[in-house]
Amino acid sequence: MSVLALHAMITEACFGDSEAAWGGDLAAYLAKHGVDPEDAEAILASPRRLGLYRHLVRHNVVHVVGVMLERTRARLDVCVPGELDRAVGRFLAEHGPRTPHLRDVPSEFLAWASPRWRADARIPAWLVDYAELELVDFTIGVAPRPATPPPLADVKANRALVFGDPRVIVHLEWAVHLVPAEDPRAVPEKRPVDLLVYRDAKHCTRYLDLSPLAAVILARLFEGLPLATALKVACESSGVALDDSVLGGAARLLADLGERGVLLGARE
Amino acid sequence: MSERSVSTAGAQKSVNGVGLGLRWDFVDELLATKPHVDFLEISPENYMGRGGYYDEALERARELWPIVTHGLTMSLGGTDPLREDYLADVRRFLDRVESPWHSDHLCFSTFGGVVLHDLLPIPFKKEEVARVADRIKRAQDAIGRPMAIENVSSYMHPGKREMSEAEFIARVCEAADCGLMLDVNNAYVNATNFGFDVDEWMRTVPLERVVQMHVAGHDWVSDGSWKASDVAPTDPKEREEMLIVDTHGSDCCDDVLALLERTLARTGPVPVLLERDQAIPPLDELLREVAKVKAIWTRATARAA
Repeated sequence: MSVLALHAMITEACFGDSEAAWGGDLAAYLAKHGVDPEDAEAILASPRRLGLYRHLVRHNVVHVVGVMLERTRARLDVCVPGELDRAVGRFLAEHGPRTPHLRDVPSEFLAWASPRWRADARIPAWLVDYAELELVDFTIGVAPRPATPPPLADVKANRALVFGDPRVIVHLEWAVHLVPAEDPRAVPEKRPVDLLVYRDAKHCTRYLDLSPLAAVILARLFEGLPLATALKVACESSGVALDDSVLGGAARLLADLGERGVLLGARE
Repeated sequence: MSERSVSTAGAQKSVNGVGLGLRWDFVDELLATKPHVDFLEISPENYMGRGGYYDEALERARELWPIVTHGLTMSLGGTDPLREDYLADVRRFLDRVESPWHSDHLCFSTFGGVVLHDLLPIPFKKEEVARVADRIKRAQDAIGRPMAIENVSSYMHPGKREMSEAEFIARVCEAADCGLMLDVNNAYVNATNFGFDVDEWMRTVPLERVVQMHVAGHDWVSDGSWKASDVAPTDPKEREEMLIVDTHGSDCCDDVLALLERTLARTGPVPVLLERDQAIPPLDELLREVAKVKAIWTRATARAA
């Protein structure tokens, strides 16, 4: 029990809501955590050192979130100065990192913060879209190396297509990808956006703005449907006639994806 | 644990001499200039489940230098169960880079499912020896490699000491039958902050179990405000108000290098790794420090022989 109590006490001292909770009356704080009196006595001999651990531990997490959401921080500071750091503080106190990879902490943080920011009237409605896109830039850039593709054949209507990894279709309510990065006061246009985000051969994250129908077709193709079936299903669900215009657009999209190295070929 | 220069199964690359911790700040220049460094050390957590640019850079580095791995979040002193998914990922990664051993820290970094992403101190209690040793043995089995535990810098002892840090390390290593990743700077930092004799500390830890050593720089900070000072305090009263923090943010100080030399003279040729994580200087400057450590390594190990 004594070691559990010590670990619980140190964890809360590092990630807990406020330093004041233990900084004011450390003896009471240790007693509250059930720390054995003889252990408490030793800790009380260096009462400020818990503060150093709080400082060091929080620095690591706050720093990585700040680095990976740097542009989001600038936009938050326009409307609610200091909000990112305060939100990280609330995240640490209420939830805390669960991943053993420090690089994944910002994603955990954003998953926690997004609903709270969406519900906060002080924060622009587009902010979460902006933050998610800023993180996707990193996560696609470092996503695991792709598996070896299966044997490839020519693209034909009755074949499922093979795409390179990593890639993802991101759905946004705001055109946050078009606002200038250096202007934190720029307000994005409110319109649905479907972005194909992928990593190119030089390991750079790239974006392709898709039409709504192209996004649905591509999503069905990513699911593994044969090309003709994907077109049919996508057009039906979108209420669009599968005519020459759609076929021509799909052909141009696939050619473009081939040039970008996203479309590799078809399954045999 | 007596054979310290271990050959990797696939690449037959021997790990010894003086290596450098691979950091993204200089990986491009390192790969372009291919300087002489005896080996590189990496943290699996920075590469596992990751592709892209740095993953490719690691593959290129593997062609040029032997790689050893040093983990950050195994939480060997923790009370949460060891994470099986994490250990399986580590094992796959070690197989890939052919690390001859794996080290992690004698500390806790998880509690209640929360990962603190830092190295928190564990109490030096009798009942902890067997508990921590058991976790090390299970981790070692899970990753399929010999493990070495690193002595960490600490700034408080979390509770009543039932033995010294050196004695605790010795008992844990013995009970787990594991190696010791001897961090010379951490020993110096703790000796300075807690006021014990570091040479006595070195006589107590099991030097025959050392598979690798670390050296690094540190910084003095004021106790309470935690503001860093550019210079070490000289006045005893001023020193009372300060402590050393293991930042890996400066060059190794002369005292640490002297301690390294005295220790190498006793261990013989053990691989030594220079760590630098903050205020990383230009690569040529870092390589000059590696060369300085290598000169010490050569001198000390010749004496040991």
